[in-house]
Amino acid sequence: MKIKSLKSKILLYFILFTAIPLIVSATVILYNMYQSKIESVFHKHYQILKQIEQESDKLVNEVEHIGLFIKQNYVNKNPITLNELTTIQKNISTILILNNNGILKDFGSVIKTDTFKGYDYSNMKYFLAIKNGKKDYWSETYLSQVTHQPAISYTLRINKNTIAVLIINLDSLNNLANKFQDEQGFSIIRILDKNGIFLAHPEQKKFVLQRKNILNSDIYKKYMKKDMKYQQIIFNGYGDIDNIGIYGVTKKLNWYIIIKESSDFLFNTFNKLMWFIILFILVLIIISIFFSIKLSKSILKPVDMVRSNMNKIAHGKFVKNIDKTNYKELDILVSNFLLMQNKINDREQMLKTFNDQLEQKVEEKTKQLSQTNEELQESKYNLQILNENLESKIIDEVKKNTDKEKLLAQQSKMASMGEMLENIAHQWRQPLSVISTASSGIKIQKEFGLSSEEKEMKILDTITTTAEHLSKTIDDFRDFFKTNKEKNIYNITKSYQKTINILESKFKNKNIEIIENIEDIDIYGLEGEFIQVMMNILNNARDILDDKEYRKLIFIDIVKNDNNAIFTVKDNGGGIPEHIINKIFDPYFTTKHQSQGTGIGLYMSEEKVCKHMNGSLEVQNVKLTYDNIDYKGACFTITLPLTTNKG
Amino acid sequence: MSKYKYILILPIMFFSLMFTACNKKNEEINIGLVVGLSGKYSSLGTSIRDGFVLAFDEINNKIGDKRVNIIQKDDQQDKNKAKKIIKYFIEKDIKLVVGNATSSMTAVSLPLINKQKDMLMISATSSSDDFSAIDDNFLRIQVEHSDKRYQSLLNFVKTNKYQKIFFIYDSKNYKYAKGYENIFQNMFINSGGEKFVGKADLNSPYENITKKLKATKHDLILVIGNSIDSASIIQYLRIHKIDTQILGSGWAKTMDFIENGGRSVEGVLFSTGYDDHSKDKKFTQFIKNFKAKYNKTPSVFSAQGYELGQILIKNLQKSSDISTLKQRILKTKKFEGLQGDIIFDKYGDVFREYFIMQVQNKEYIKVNTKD
Repeated sequence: MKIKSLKSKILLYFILFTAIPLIVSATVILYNMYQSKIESVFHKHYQILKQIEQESDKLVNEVEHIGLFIKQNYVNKNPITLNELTTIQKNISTILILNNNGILKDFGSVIKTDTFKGYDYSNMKYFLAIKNGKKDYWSETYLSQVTHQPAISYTLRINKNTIAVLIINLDSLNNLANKFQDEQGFSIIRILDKNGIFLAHPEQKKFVLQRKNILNSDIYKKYMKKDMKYQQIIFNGYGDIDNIGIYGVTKKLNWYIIIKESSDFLFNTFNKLMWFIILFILVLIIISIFFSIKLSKSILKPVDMVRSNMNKIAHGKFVKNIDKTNYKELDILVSNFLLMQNKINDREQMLKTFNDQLEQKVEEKTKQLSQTNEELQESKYNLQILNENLESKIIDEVKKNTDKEKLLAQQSKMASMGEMLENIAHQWRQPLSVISTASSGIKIQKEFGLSSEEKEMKILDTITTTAEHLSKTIDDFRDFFKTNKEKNIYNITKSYQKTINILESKFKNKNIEIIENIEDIDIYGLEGEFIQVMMNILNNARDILDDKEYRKLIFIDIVKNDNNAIFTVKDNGGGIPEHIINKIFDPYFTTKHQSQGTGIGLYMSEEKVCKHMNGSLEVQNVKLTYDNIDYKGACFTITLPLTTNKG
Repeated sequence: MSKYKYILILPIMFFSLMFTACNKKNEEINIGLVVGLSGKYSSLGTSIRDGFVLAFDEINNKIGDKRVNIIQKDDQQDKNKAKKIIKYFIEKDIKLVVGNATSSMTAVSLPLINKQKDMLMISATSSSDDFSAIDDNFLRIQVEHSDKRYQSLLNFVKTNKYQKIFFIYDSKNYKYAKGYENIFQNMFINSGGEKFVGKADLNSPYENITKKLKATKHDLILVIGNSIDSASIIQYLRIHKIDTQILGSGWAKTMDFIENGGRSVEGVLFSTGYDDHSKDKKFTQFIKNFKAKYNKTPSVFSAQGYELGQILIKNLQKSSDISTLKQRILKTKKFEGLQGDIIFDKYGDVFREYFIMQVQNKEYIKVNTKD
């Protein structure tokens, strides 16, 4: 929205409220004056028109009366003097008396004529009209051979053989028009025949003599052709002068009567008056504008004062005293404003103080923030360094871990090897002792001559059998150390048997009984690793039962359950203490003496079952009843998925 | 800015309007028409005027966007008046003048016109041979007095074996009359005829003319005058028992002649180039239009005035430059008239076939001259 000046607006309203009524009233006055002038002109023109029509018809009637008079008085024997008649009757210029054949018998004229008695006018329209039976006849305008001038004639039969032609003196029509023009001052009068040819033109009589017509004039084309008679009309006249007027048609001969006045002339006085009024109004408007400005100034002065003070305040300059105006309302406004100014001032001060404090606080906070930011930057730097160190540490740790795992694997392998060697040694000790005993027996018998071939053969058979047993043992160990890491379908039961074969002598040596519940199950996986796990668990069971004084039992279950093969090893060794049961799969955790255990067997077994065979290795303490005796022991369960299919 | 814009625009608009209004006044073609409009010579003049005005009325007095003003002046067959009028036209810078109707008046006007470089006078009816074969500021659509023009008349006179011709003429238009006196008379003599047996001024008392005629043996009276005078003298001669065959001039051949001549003019002969009963479509249409406007029958002079108007309109429509108008008309050479073509020669004279007409039963009837 456009911002306007209140002052200008008030001033504008003042001016408009004074100027508009003046202009409107002046316009209304002028319009009414114009209308009344137009109407008065119309009435005047109408009156003149009607009078001229009457006069014209009167003139025509007079001519007809003269015709009648001639008819009644003209006789050849005692003729009235036609010249005298034309002299008396100003409306008639010439009288022709024709016989029945159109031959001029007599004539009289006030003007010099160029005719002679005996002239034949039988071809004239007026004669032909009467000859054709008309009682009388009014001609149109024609060039008369008699007068050498345009003429209008009235023809009538005055007796059986005589016809009178009365040629109108067109001057009388001109005089008639002239008379009214003189009487009416500025009104201009024209009389025309029904064909628009001038019969009277007071100013330009030559137009009558020239038989000039108005057929191309504005008035004829605009109004007369459209039969708009007796209406006020405005048209261009001769010489492009604007005219206002009226026209009518005479009753008798349909002559046109035009009354007109020059618009300029007609409205000359009116225009002068109009200009005077316009000037007067302009002066009034100027005066009103002057007083409007004065008035608005006097009203707006205190407003200006208030505005000026506000302006100063707006620009930070406070005013202590404000001058009083002469207006109560404005003074109240001013005093209120002063009050407001003071309050604003107080508030300003308060605000300034508050602002200062605020600024100080902001400054402090900014400083703190800046400091914190610096610290943060430093921390960030330290963190970055720490991060970098951590990364290298992690890498180191991962490396260490990997190394450790490698070490573990190596240690596990070495432990297994150790155990295996122990097993081999154990396994081989007796057969070797047998072989040694047998061979030394033979030797002693040979020395003492006690030997016989039969005895020797028996001893040699024993040696052979024992050696074969040793050989078989080697096959079993070889399976154990198979390095083939490719998965294959193998039979768990057979794998178990191989394991037992290796461990059997130890178990027997320790009087450990093995109670088996075995199903025949094929499974897809790494047989070697499974044997190592079984061996580890069975060795642990053997170790735990080693020093037990009661009947030593190991229960082996190999069963199918759903899609799993479950291998369970339970012993009656008393179970694993509850506080360590959760730690037995941790690396380097062992309850054995340092010379007996490394603490990595179960860790590696769990790793192998879980990671290499996708199975699980769990332990729990269980209660057992065998031969009606209750035992407590540990139960290791290996659960392997039965995926015999390679796919 | 908007306030100032209006302050600027309003005066510009005002002055533009003023300029246009002032210019509009200049956008006019003013044609001066000078003929005899009053008195006994006015039958010819008013006829020409009515025909000429009708032609322009049919185009609403507008050529292109220019208004055509016809300034009518009456020379009253008066030399001083004619001079005054031409001076008035010169003063008013009216370059194109139509007139005069009679040769005598044209002879007065033309020297004044010829002094002006860019003025052109074009006449509908002036036929004097005085204006022939001159490269001046004059054109006409009336056939000049020449051997060709009089040939048909001569043939007629010879065929009818007229020998003694009495010559009555209007001294006020002697330029026209002398065409008959010189050219026709010489042709007549050259073809075995006699010199005119007598001559009389139409403006002299009829009584004297009658006496002269009665005193002179003659078999043909040649009356060279306007329609009113011709009708009047013929009436007078017939009253006084002079029944000799009369040959009128084309100048008098209007309806006024028949109306004012009565039975006295029956049988009067005319040598003319216009047939009142022509069935030419253009002519019949013209008659219709003329009657509609003026409520009267046109004479052949109205037809000539109309033809002249048509020629001017056609040329002014191409250009309103008057200084080149004559050249342009002569270049075009051929124009369609109401009764056949109007052909200009290099000097602006025209030729039209002439024939004999006779007043028979109040009408002009073409006479077969071949017999």
